[in-house]
Amino acid sequence: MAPASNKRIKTLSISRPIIYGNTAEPFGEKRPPNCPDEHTHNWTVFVRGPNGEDLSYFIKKVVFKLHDTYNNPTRSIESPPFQVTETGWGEFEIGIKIYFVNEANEKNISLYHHLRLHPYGFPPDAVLTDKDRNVRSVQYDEIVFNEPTEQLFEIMTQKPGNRLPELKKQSEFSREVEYEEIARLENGIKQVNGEIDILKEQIQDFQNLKSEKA
Amino acid sequence: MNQVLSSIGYYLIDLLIYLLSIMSSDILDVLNIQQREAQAPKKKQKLNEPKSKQLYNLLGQNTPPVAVRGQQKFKDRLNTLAKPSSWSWTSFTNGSRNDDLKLHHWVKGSKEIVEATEVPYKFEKYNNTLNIPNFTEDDYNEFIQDDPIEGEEEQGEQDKDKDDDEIIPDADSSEQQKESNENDKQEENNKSPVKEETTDDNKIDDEKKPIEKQDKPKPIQRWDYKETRYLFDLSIAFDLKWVVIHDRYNFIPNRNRSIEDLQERFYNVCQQILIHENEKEENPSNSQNSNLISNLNFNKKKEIERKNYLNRLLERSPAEIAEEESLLIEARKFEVAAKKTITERASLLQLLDSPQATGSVGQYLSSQGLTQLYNTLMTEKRKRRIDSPAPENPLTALNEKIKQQNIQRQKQIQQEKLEAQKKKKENPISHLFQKHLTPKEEEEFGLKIHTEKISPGVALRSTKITTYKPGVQTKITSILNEMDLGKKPALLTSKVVAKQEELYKKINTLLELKRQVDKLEAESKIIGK
Repeated sequence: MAPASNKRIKTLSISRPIIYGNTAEPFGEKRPPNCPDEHTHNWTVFVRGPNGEDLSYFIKKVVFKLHDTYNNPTRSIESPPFQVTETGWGEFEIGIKIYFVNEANEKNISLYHHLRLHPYGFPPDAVLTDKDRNVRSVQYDEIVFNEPTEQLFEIMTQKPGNRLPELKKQSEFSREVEYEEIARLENGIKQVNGEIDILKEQIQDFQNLKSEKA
Repeated sequence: MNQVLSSIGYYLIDLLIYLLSIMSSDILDVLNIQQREAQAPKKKQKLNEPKSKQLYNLLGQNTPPVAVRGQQKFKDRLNTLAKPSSWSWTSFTNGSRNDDLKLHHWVKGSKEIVEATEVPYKFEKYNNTLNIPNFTEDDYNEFIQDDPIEGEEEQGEQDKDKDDDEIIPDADSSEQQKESNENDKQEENNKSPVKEETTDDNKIDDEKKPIEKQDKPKPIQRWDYKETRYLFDLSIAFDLKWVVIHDRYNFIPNRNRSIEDLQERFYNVCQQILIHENEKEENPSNSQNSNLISNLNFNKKKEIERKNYLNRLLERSPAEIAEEESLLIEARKFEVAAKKTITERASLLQLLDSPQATGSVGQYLSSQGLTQLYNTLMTEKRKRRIDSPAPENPLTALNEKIKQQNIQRQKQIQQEKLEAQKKKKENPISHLFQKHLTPKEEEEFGLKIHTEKISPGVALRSTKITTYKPGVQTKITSILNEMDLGKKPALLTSKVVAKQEELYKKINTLLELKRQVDKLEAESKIIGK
């Protein structure tokens, strides 16, 4: 392997979107073999691109730290897809460590995901369909390389990796959602600005009062 | 004499005017100058004119070329149209006289009216005498002791006298009682005047102190009926003017009684008389009487002390007076200073109280919280040190600021140039990209060129959101919840994060403004108070 160059490109950052999370479904009629009696769900925890892209060009490996009650709780996945499928009965926090390719010359980053098996938001006596029981808990985030090494820059600019589908119905992570978020935040900013103006007026009033008294 | 002279003078002037007027007409005749036709009727008028005018008229038509002015003028004539009021010379009798002496005086008003209405003499009312309790020798023997401290011999004698008195038949004593009862009635009516007068006398005494001389303590001298009688007669004669009484007091030559002795004796006897009367009365709880009795307590020792003190006050030297005054001024200064410090302290305390703790102390109780508090305090301290340099000449400070800004700008330009050169040299790829990439393409590659310096390294976008102090952060989140923006954005792209950052910043400034408003409000309340 070529020695990693330490030369970095100043004032430049490059980012890649990732999604991480888990899917879970109850066993149903057929139970997988060799599974402890108390287990109730199949679940899969994963790290991948928003559209299922292969991220192995900059991610060397992903280490999932499972609950200590599992056999061999530290699962190191060195090739895509970066995911672990297991059976279980309870929810717990999974530690995820992402290691980058040598060219990046970066330390790993760690994040946490709360494994979710049970659906929520339904009234307790609601009859759930199979579809409702299939839980999906996914987070969107972006990995940002500040001042990447030249080599990493070369790798990352081979092809555009930051594409999101335009419409909501195409994916739960789309440009449309982004616009909605931005609109929501802008609305909030507008509200806050209004209140700031009111407070500023109050301060002005107080100061006028003060100068009158002085 | 004067009046006679002046009247003679007026007469002479009149005569002169008359003669002159005759003469002038004669002269005019001689000179064949035509007199005014209207002279004859004018003559009557002339008599009413002032003398100066009459004299002036004698000049005829030959008025002087220059008016003589500024000369002494006679007093102006009274010019009232009102009728003079009538005064009448009438006789009157003075009610306070024992004889029927008739005297006369002028009274305003016509004689008929004045004689018809009999008005008592104006000054009668001032002929007042003090109502001093009276006593007979029998009274004296009955309930008035000779003296607070008296010899035993005297007592024995008195006892004998009393025995003698007892032999007198009852009728006599009853008569006496009647008399005394009458006296009582009189005295009752007069009680309040006595009280007033006693206080008045004290005042008089105060004023006259300088005249008195300090009496040396003398052996106590007995009082007997005769001397007491003498004292009372004198006090009636001189209306309790103690200084006069003391001056005239000459019961036994060479026996020197001080003014206080006389007063003590007098008030004591008065008190005893009143007490006796009180006992005789049907309802002894006559408040007026008992009031009077308590008022008649005369403390000789105190009185002497008081006079001594006043004497001393009067005998102070000017230097002493000046010193006392200066001390008084000093004392007043101290008082003012003390008041000032008290108010200042109060205002200071108020100032110290006003900033109330915003957050609970709980967040600082853990070790983590403590270190955080320490850090924030340190940064604040550092900031303050930077923010508040020593006071300078504002002009030079401004110049320096501008200079520094210039230097900084130059440095920045240089740095940018250097960086651009480096990029060109070191990174042909980026150079290429900069040339050809559209913003959209840049976005697709997730590329961003920052203007400010960034720290190298890799991180998740979500962890790069700036965080605030825990107290502020909780407030921000609560405000976000209020605005229904509490949920974490589903898509943390760079644009969304930028917006979020902006929102957080705005909320932070909002919070700061809020704090300032609260502070100003509290201040204005204090001022308002």
